[in-house]
Amino acid sequence: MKKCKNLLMIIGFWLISFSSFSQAKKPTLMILPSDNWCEQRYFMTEFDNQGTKQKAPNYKQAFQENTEIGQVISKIGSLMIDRGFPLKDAEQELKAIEQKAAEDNMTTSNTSGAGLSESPLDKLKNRAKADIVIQIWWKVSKTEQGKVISFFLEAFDAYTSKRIAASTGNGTPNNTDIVPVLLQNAILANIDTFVAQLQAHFDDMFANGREVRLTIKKWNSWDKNLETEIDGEEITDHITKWMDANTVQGRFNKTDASESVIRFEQVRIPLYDDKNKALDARDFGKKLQKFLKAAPVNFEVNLMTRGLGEAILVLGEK
Amino acid sequence: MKKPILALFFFLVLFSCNAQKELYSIECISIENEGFVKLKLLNYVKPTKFKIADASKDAIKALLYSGYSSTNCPTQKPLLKESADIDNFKKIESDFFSKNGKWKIFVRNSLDIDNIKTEKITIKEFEIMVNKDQLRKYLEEQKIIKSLNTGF
Repeated sequence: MKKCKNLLMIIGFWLISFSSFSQAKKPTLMILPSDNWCEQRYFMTEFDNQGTKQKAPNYKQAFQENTEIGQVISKIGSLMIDRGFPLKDAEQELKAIEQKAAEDNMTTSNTSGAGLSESPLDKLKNRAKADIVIQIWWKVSKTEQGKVISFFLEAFDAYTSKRIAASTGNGTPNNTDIVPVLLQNAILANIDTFVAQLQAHFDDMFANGREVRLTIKKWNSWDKNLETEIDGEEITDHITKWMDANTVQGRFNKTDASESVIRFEQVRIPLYDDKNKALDARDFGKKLQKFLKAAPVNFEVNLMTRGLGEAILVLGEK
Repeated sequence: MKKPILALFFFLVLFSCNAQKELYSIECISIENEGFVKLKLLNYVKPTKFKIADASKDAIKALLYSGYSSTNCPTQKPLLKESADIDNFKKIESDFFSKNGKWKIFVRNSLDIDNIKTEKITIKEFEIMVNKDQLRKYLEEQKIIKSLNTGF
């Protein structure tokens, strides 16, 4: 009886662990107004980038001052929740970053009084981010027949920069409804097409693997470069062979290969590893790091990531 | 010689009856709040016997199989996009559209808006409100179509 109980417990545990591992990592989605929308409403910040004046959208100002953007994001958000895909809220994310920065500055150790460690790269990366960025844009034009709303909704994969879903359209001229109602109608009219394209992107991902980017670099203190031969083959060739064996159907593009950098794009990685655990770019990069640390190459390798979709390996030291 | 001609005649009659069964015109009037879509329906087959229940079923079938497009609504694709989805739905279709089937849950405010009389026939038009979001959710729950978060 006890044996039977133990056996049932083992089977139950195995089933629970199998079901939790067989879920692919869910990409995060965030809605932001498009750059053009921000520019037209003067929600831009100008900054000096090493002598060149550049403009970037000031999302915080847009959220605080525009009355329509909140309604639009809230409506799209509720429709996406309905589809089991809650969105990361950009406004809340910006607030959370400010709050975290303030708290981190005030945090000290009880014993030595040391502050929290943060590298310059950590500081730079501390911004609102998501794996899929949804951009919205709209414009209300006045015609003789009434107000016409032009609207677009686009989704971009933040790491491959590919447009993965888009829906655009012009409403019928309307003289009776107020602008928020027109906007709501535009969202309702466009959301199904948009979600269908998003679904097609996810279907493609499940069929052909997750698309990521992988970059191999070297520290300038390293005494070797990527063209150095080891066991009669260049380091680049060792890495390319590994990529052939470990990507889905050997699908990847080597867009750059020099003595100091190799860039792989459109790398299709399996969604799950051999233990049925969900994979992302970091896990995939970790496997390559393991390969490069082992014989015959035996390198020290530093692994960095950008979200779920990009891994950067720097050879030479940690 | 007569037998093959007779067989062909019966086949043609059967085929034409089957094709006529689904002959209806559909127009999207508006996309409403809470996931509802307002559709206008008009049936060309025996219009005098065309009832609200028939119009409601036709409206749901349009959402499922063909999608719709009009000047008021941008093109909306059908809910059953792939052949596997259609095959899955076929398994429950007769139950779904039966007298007390689930189809009733997704329809409201069915309205007989017009009776257009010509010399020979009376054409009936109906305005049907279908809850497309609830219908999609039902199909997802029944594993007939995939939801957006399937696999995550």
